[in-house]
Amino acid sequence: MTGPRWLVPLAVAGALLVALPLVGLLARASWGEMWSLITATASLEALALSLRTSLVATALVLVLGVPLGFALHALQGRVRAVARAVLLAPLVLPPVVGGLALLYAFGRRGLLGGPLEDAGVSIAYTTVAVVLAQAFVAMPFMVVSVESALATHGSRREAIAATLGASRTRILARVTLPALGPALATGTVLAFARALGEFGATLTFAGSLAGVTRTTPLEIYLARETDPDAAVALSIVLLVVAVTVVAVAYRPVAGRAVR
Amino acid sequence: MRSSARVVAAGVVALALGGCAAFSPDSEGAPSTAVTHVLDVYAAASLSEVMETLATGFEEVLPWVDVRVTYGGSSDLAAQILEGAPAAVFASADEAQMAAVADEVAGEPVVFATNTLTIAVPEGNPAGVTGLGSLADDAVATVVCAPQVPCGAATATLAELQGVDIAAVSEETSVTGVLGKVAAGQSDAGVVYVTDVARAAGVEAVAIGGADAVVNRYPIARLKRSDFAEIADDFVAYVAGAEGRAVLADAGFGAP
Amino acid sequence: MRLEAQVTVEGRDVDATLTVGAGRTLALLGPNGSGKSTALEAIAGVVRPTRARIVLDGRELVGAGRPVPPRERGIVLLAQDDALFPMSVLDNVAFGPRAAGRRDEREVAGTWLARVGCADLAARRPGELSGGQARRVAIARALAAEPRVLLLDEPFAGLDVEAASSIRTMLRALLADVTAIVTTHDALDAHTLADDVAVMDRGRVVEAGAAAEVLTRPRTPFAARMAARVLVAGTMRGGALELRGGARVPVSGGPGGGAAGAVALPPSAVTLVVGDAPRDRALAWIPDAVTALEPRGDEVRVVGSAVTADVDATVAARLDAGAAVWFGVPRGLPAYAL
Repeated sequence: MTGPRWLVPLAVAGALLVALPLVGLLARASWGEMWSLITATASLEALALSLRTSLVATALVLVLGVPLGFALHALQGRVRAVARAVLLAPLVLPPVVGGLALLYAFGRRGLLGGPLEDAGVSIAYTTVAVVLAQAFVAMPFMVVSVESALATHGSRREAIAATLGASRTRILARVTLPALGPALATGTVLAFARALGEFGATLTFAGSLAGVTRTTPLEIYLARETDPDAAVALSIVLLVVAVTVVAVAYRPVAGRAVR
Repeated sequence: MRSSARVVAAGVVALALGGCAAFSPDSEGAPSTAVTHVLDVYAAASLSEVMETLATGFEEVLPWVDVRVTYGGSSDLAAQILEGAPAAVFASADEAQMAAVADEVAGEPVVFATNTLTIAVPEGNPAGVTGLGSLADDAVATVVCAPQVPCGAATATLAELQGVDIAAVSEETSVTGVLGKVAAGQSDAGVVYVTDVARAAGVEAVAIGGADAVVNRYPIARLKRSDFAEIADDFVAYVAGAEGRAVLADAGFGAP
Repeated sequence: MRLEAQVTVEGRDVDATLTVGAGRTLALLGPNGSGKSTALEAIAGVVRPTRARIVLDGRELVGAGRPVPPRERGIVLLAQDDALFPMSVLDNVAFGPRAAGRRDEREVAGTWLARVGCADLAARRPGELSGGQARRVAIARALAAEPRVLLLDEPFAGLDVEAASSIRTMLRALLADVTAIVTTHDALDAHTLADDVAVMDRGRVVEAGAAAEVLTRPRTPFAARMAARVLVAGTMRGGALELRGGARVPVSGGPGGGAAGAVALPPSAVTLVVGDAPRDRALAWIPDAVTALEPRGDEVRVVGSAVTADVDATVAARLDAGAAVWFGVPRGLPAYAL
């Protein structure tokens, strides 16, 4: 299982590349003032907004992403490949491109935003815009989790359940979704983390106003200008959340076999 | 005094990073370009077009110099300089950021340009903005720079002077953020600098009466770590001098 | 509930016609890969057949019109892999009754769990069951759904001998009044459980009939092999079977002279001698050559071109493919027409 020895120095270099910046961030922190920096009004306001919007975005991703994963799984051949590529694009899209795309869809002059604006519904510069941006970038995590879980899960149990007289809805609720549990948990946690970290699309599309659209990453970006210590403190909060989330998200999948 | 070893090292770096001129066919018969000195200039993003012109002009005067300009927000650049970035010259969009790197500056910074605020509106001015007073109206979706960044600080000062309470829907981190939203029609108005509107597409300016009360100054300085002090000083003088003045004026910058 | 099914699954080269009488059990006998599972899955609607006609008690479920969806067929499949759902054992068994809208599904499930001897496992999750326990739970789940037809795919596959034998006994009682099809590659299962037997080879039903008939009087060497019998076939001449090589096997009964006839016997009842022609007059001797040797535990199955014998490993150790041997078959076995 262990590779040749010359892999070791490369692995060490790789580890340093990832770990060193994180250490650098920790080294810059003014630990004595950590608590007061995090509990400052602007920081708390941003953290609370981030938490609120990320939870709503995650719920939205669950409600829409799971059916999307099923739909994608149901497609076949080239159609599926193309659909998957489009749906997963936000995963690899530069955030600012995502922001522009959202702007031209939901912005005041966007495809949907324009007519909505005429009807008196404004999304721009509201917390709704933040949630949309977060859901946009987080959706792929749920879709890809569900789709790949369905691919390995197969459809035998569902077919057997049908012979036992169960309706499609009952099969979905009682057989398929429970079997997808670990995948759904992973997708949810990753989507939440991605929503929490969303920056580019929010900045481009939703704007930045304290308590309304200025989430933690935006607050960090702004605080950098005048109060680098606060920026570092908030960064460490997000770093801790990120590390925790990844630890939580990857354990159950490895540890629990689906039967 | 620099050690000769350091000069050699700098030359090697210059060759490796920027200067292939010595070996390229174009340089044949031009012995003066046998060694190319790279001059690293860190300039505020709002200077991007003019600094390009100035760099080219300077290279025509001193053909063996390759002016390499790095653009960014002034505070980003200042932070990078403090972290040891190899900048020879720093042209900041505000004096505060120049002050932040004071320990790195050789000599006194020179103010080479000024700028004043204006209102950017989407083409056709759909919200009918007439002046700073219009921006107090909730119906006009206005974006400004956050008070923490230079353009926002200036905006806040001017608004206070004029007794206007701007109802901003977003406080952006940069002028680019403001202009982007105005150009896309996502907002009805944004407060930026005169030169920013001149550079941007899809927006037009609505002048602010009394904008002269808040003038933003652009300082430029040589940094202590510059390897070729004379060239860096020459560049600073060039930008602050008559040639520079003409280019800057063309772009809408005011005289110091 | 009489089931008539004709299913074609082109992708897996299966084209089978099966009939099960009401309350009877049909054993679908065939080697691995002969298409037994596919045929069952197509009938249950787990795989989509290329063409099919399935008639249950005179009602066409699949045929010319729009097929009745699997959930409304009342045909339950007990799959080889159990396919238990990610819920408690009790909920698994209650799944069918609940889907049918019964309010007493937990009581029904409890009754069935008791009947398969798993009442104490009600609260367990599928991952916490042994292979035999999982199979019992799957059987209880299938029966609790009150199927009109129960399809059991290799119900003893993957179980140790002990579990297989106790489940075999249990199923014999449970299937008494159920219309069922059981696939198996083991003649013993067919003997124990089935009223009727259909033999399947490469996707086709090659022989079908009452279990006693097919298992004791197979008509083809393939069916004989599946029934764990040796088929000695030839032409009837003067109270004996004349084999193609000229050897004569005296038999009792059988069709008239000149007709094709056969006797069937277990390979263990065939005697094997190597070397000169044996003198023992109690047996009829058939000269043959070894075509294959199949080790089966302590014994070796010596396959010849006409006859097969199970002999002690020490006897078979001296044999190679192509070796000349004598197969001894008892005289006077009851012959039947082919």
